Amino acid sequence: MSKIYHLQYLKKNKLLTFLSVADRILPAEENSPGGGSMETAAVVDWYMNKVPADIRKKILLFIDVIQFTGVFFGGKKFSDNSIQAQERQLKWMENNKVRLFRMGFFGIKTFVEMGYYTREDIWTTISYDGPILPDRAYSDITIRELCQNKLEISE
Amino acid sequence: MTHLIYDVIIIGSGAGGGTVASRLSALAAEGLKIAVLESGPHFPKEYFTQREIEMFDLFESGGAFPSADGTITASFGKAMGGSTLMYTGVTFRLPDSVVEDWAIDGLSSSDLKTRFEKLEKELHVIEPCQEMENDNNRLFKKGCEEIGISVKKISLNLKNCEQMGFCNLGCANGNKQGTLSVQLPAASKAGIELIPNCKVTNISEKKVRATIKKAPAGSLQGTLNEGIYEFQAKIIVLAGGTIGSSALLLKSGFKKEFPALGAYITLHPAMTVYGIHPKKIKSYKGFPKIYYSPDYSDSPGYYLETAFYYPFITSKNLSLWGKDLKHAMNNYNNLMAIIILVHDEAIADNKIKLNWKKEPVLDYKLSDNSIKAFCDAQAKASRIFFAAGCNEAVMPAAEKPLFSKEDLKGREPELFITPKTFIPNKVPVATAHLQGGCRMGKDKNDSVTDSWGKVHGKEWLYIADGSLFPKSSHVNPYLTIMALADRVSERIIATKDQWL
Repeated sequence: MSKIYHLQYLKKNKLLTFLSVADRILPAEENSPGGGSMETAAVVDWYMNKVPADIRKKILLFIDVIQFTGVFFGGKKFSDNSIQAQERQLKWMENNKVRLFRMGFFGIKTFVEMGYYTREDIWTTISYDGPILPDRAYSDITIRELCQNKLEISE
Repeated sequence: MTHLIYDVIIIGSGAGGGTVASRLSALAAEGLKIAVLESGPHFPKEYFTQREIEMFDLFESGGAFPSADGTITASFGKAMGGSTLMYTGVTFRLPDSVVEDWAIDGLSSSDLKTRFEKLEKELHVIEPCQEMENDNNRLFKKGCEEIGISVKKISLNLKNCEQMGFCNLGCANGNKQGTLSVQLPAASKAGIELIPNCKVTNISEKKVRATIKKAPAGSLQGTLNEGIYEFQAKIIVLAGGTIGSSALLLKSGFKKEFPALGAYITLHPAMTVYGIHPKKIKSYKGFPKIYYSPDYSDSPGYYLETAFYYPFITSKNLSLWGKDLKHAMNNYNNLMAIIILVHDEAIADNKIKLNWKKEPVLDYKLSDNSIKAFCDAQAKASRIFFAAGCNEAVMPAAEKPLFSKEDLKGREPELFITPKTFIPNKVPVATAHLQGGCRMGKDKNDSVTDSWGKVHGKEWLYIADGSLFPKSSHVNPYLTIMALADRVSERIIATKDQWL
């Protein structure tokens, strides 16, 4: 792989948090990788460039909220907490009485699912055949190549 | 700013705008200057790649325009063809009972029937044959019949359908008979201009202000270049849908004159639920929608239809995470799916409004009745899945969203899925059938147009889209929108001598 995709939004702490959240939403199993990979993050990062700036800001802010409220569930930042503490925290957010937590969790979860299930290597793990016309070109080659795992990904 | 003079300007190119354009082709043939302004791009059929993330381009906000409280996401088209670009072609006539309930003077079942018949012919509406049934549809029918729920066939508007199954991502061979395939080409042939990437910012008496942007890569260039335009027209027809038409009129200062503008919207809120069958189903192959059941339409107020979606949207609909999500998605080829469509009430508090940036806001709250209907529908859907042979069901509002028959421990599913366990913003609710906002009626104090779509007191302004609906249509709305657009066109043509 010679071409590189540089992450624009999911960097450093945000990337760490995103990868940990993605691994809880979609944990690794035998023959099926976890959600917390650079490939998933890159697809999400690409899409973030397309969403309105105010929504992108909210999502990125919520990633920080997850990271720093981790201290209440396992004593550390979310990405440093145990799997059990991370799951406890996400469940708390998902069912929270405060709507903003539920909305934030739903939003992040949706982004993770998008980043994961649009990847062609993941399609094979769920035996999804993909498009009947697989060779149709798309105007933005980057997302096609990211979904086909043809790009190197870097922060 | 460039000033251009037209006879008729149509804003929007979906079921409403496309139909008006085709009907006014006769006027274009007589030499009248008519244009369709579409805010989205004009995609050729070769653009449709059958890949979810790439086809987000066809939708406003990637297909997830959120309600103000985030409970619902709305999915509607932003491209030449509007939402007919990514609908499934499900064709329902507006039920007579709904026409009666709407109680719009001058709008009768018999008037609509004539138009439905004409449109169904033009749009190649068919009853799907047995060869079109995929396993999901067969099992839905079987499950319903086992437990005594009636099943009917859905009519579809297709021609030479190759049953690739990607209808909701745009028809790759152009055989789905939406406005991009039928009405707009006919209108264009008659001389009506199609102007894509044209965002209308304001309308005033016989004037439309708009900004035309560059055509995105892969889309077709329109007849006009980038820039700011003012179109002068004798007649303006708004067909931007519930959000588009309402927001444009609000932005243009019509609220003072029409207090009901933007209000009384209904969304036909929807949830897609799943069953895991021991046998392979591959529901994404073949035609996704063939059957429905209207048994619970009167009470508690919903339809059940067959449906199926691609991996990402399926994972979102499942509303699971962790091992449960992996388990369900690892069974992607074994998933049965049913879409629940709830008939919601039209109330003034559910409305389109503008935020401080003058952008539209979908201010809508799911009512207690809608939540009750969703819960009842999920219980019925789980019964259908189990009767069809599924081992497990996924019901986002259930006490335990992924459950087997054994998990019910002898309880009726209705006791396992209740409003208490329905948590808004956790349960994924969507809509693709936005209605109301510029509703028809007699009086300008509680409606925006008359029964012919003419805005009260404005001889130059018509509305021809789903925003005209005074209440929920109960059924997938495109054919009704087209029938109302047909009425609008008829009135415009009949009064030509007055406005030309």
